[in-house]
Amino acid sequence: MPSNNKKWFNAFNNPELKEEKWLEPSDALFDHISNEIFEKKKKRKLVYWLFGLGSFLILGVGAFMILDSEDKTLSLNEDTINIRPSQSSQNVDFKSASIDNLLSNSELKATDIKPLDGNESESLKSTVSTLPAQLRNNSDNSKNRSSKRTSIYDEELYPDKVFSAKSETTIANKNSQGSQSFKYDVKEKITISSLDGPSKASAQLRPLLSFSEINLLTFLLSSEEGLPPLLNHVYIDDPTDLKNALNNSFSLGISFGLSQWNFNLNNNYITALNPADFSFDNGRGINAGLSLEKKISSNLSFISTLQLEQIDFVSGHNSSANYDLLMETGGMMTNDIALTMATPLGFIDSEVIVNRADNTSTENTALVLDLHNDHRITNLSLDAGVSYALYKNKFINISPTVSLGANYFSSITNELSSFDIDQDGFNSGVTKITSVPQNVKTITPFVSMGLVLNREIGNNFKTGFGIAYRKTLTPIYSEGDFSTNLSSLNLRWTIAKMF
Amino acid sequence: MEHKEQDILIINKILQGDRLAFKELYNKYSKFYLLTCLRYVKTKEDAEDLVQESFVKIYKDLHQYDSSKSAFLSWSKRVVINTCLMFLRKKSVFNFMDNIVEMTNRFQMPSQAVENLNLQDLTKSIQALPKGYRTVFNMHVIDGYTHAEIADKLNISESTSKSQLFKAKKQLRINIDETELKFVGLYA
Repeated sequence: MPSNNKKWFNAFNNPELKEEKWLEPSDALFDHISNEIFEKKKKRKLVYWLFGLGSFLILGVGAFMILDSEDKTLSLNEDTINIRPSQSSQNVDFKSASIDNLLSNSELKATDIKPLDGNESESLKSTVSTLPAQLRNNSDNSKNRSSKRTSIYDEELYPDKVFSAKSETTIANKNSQGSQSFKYDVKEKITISSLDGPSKASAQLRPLLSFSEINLLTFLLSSEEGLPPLLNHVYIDDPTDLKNALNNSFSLGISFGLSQWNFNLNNNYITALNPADFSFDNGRGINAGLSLEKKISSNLSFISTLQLEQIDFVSGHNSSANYDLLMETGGMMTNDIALTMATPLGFIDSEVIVNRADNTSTENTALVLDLHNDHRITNLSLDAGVSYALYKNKFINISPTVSLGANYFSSITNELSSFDIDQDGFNSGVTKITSVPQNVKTITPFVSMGLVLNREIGNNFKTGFGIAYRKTLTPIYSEGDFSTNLSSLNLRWTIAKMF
Repeated sequence: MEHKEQDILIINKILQGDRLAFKELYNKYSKFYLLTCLRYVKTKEDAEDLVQESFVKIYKDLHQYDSSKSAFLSWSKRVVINTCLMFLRKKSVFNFMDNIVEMTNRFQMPSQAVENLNLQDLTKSIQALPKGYRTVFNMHVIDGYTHAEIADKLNISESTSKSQLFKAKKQLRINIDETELKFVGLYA
């Protein structure tokens, strides 16, 4: 045959094939190629634009979330706050001072203010009594206030106007400055309405400082319509809610747990593999991850988890092979047999060596090999979603979660761990996997639903236990009519630091 | 005008956006690409799919073609072969079915020397080989790959490549020694 190599080569390397009518391509082939090249190009351009736009939106939203990540909406209970114009504010020339100067001045002055205690209450009352009569009732007894609005008033600065402001504030950028001392920079657009006219102004309410146990927040109220800013202190009688809310604003944790994967082969695939007695088990393994939680409102949180899983599973089936005496080479009573094996993730090629133990056989032998495969998948997943605090008290928080994410199979290893032979006189030798599954989708989107139970431990930490069910939205393996979907169950224990 | 110069002219036109030139290229080489694909796969349907995929790849990569390094036919044939190999890797499912249902393809061929067989019969004789034999035989004997290159492309050892070639030739010899050409698919 080697002498024929040239003939074979020549026969198939001559491009002049006009006479070979049997090689005429179908009429539609060129149209298909032309469409593929010239029409898809246009579609591709649109896809690129859409992809670019999508990326821009995602990046924009992401950047906004990062830049705005320090914002937090917090509803201050009317019964727990008492607002009055700051005495210190009266010493600041607001009309000429820049915002930065105001902040610096107020910080300096605020350091002299002590947390609210019995004596301070007396001084507060005397200060509050300087408010106009129509507002005094609301302010004299903060515990009994029922008004939805809190009055802010400075007679010296605004002799002709009375302003009211919503008591809802947004508190952000909490920086820990010592064990019991915090600083908050609060931004909120509030409505200031003049009682003697219809005009309304939008303003920023910015607490600058707070002290131990968050008894005191200092707000800078600045108008956007030419009104000079006001500096106000907010005294909080019961800081528990505020503190809890602030502590929960952002948390970063690590998690560990167990995973179970269920491979859902479609009917076509199962039917095709049945004759080979194909079997597989569910994947089991461990997971570890990083979790992030950011409060959007008092009950709703943005959650995101980056998780690494290592999953092991086995599969196996029968395969027919022919032991060919002519294929024995070098005096060895062995055959090197190439096999294609099925797995839940598609097909892989292997080579197995079958040893002939009995040299009395003089005929080729049909063998049935019982193949056992070990598989390991390393999966990196990232998901983002929301959790809703269904039940919460000072210690426990139970939240259902829902999220969308993507799996990335960073590695898939397969090993033909062993094989049995149905015929006496033969035994199994060395095995080798020679290919990886070709049609595994390494990146697949999934949806996740779960339940998390969190409990605070200490001031800055919380621990939680979560269970999540995940289901891929597209198959992890797809080839013709065959496909496999994945659903998984994750149990996770998390410990998180709250910021 | 020689093939090579003609090809360069056509390619330049295509690169300038001339769609008629692309049609010219298609008319010139589609049969050759189809023949190449038919050596690697068993059905004309699959082969045409591969020709389509190959033309798209050739068009996309045409700007990378360097006429000073190789003839267009050699360069484009490599693209076609790589497309076929990729397809075969994806088609592992059929190998598995071979194992399961013991599909055997037998053919009988007139007792003639290789040079006396027509191209269609030769193609059928290659197509009748098992996939592994067929691929190695095609790559080594007809497409000029070394065993080292085959080992690298197919992710097998060089000795496996040699062994597969040996078996392929042996199988072809048996086939060609038979008396009549007939293609029968038997399913156990």
